[in-house]
Amino acid sequence: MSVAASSPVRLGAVSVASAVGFLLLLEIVARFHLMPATLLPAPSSVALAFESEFQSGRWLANVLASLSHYAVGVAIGTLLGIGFGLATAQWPLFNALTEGIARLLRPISPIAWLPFAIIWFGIGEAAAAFIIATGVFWLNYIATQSAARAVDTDKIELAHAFGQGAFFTRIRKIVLPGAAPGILSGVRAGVSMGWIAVLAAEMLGVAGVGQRLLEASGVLATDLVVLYMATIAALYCVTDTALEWLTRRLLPWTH
Amino acid sequence: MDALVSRADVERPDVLVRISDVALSAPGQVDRPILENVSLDIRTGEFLAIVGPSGIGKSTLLRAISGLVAPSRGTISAVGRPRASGKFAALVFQDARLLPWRRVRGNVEFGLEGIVPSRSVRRDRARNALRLVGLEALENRWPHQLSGGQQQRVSIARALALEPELLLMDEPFSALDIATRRTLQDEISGIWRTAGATVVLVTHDLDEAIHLADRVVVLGGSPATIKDIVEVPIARPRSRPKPVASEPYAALKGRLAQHFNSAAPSGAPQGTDNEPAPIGN
Repeated sequence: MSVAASSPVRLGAVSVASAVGFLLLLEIVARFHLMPATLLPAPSSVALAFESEFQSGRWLANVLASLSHYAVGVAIGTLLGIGFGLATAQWPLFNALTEGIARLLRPISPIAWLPFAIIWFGIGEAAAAFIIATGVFWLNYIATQSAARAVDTDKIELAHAFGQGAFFTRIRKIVLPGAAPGILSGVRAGVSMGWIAVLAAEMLGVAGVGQRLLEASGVLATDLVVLYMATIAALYCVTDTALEWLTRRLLPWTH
Repeated sequence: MDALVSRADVERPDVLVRISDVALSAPGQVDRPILENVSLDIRTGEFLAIVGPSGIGKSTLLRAISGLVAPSRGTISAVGRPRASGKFAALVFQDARLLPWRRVRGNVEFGLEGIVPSRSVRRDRARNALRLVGLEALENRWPHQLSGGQQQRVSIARALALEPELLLMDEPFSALDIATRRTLQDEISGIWRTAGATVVLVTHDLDEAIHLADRVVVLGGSPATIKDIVEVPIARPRSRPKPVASEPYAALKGRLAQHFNSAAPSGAPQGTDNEPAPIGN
């Protein structure tokens, strides 16, 4: 491919054109009844569903409700994941104490925690935040642990040689900045996992985009299902873009 | 760099560091020393080179002098004391070992952060050290924006900013191209004369040792011991000689090379020169 053909503007135009073409194709399939609307809704009917949901205030209420437990769950899962990941990387005894438990709990899906979430927290925001936090926690835990362990031992020796070798000084000045790219990759993966876990969390009956999506699927309102799928995708795009911007601000030396 | 220029007013002992009957082992292998029976006085203000084949334990000895590793036997004692404003010893590593998340000035300030509370004083001392190595214009660059030679200059500035009595250099030029290496050798020689610090340079380059040092210590054997200590009677400032044309130079190099060639360790613990040492100071 020539340089002109692969310029960013041209590639962007190709990307937009392909998305528009895909939507047009879906519209044609639905308009000409090539497939039943319950199986594949037309993009125009999704737009109409959005207009209806937005005007009734349901769309915004659901988005805000999901954001509420999403933010709490992601924040708790991220902070605990980074904290435990860092602690296990730095304290061999703490790692030995927790490694076996971590191996047992890590493969368990957030959905599997639903019964315990209800028993421990009841049906509500706290239970939803707990489900989201369990999904987010492990991604941050593993990313931070790996990144902190991979910090160059030469840099640790440098800290000792230049009087910066005390434990917390070393953590602050060498380990955290050295592991920051890996930690932020974990945070970004956690932010994505958080939106996947929102759907699981709202299976409890907690209000939000996930619950509305499940309600709509129960009555085969596929235009609403697609609307709320697109809503989750859009919310993910916003949070991921914000995090990418933050990463670039926090790690200017990496680019 | 004013603070480094005049040390004549400071009362300084003839011997800065005394190494007495030292043995050094790899971690967990006390019964298999890398070096043993090492005794040496490092004289105040001298430029001392330590030479020997790769893996002989030169870098381990340097780390022991810096306090990063403890001898398994014997003592290394600082006869001199650090200046109030600085550290007793500062280390320049073989690789520049800059912190990629700090700009050039931030890297130079790194060692000062534990001893100089004032941010403005740290900044001034870092700038002075960068001026000394000719990089004051690059203080806001990231390490990855510098060449290998510039990175090594920054690491030298980082050590000089501490205003150390003793500057320890672990093959700092070995990863550089020949032209950059010679330029930096001459710069170090100039800085040493100006700053008045005592310098210990580990190298396996005999020409470098003769060009820079007042004395050359040859390590050899397995476990390694001091095989010879050679005074370098060539007057300063030293122009870079045409080695074969200079009789004293050729004689010196021949004497060192003789030890060097027979000094390679055989079957003993090796490869410890650049091992990271998990010991704080």
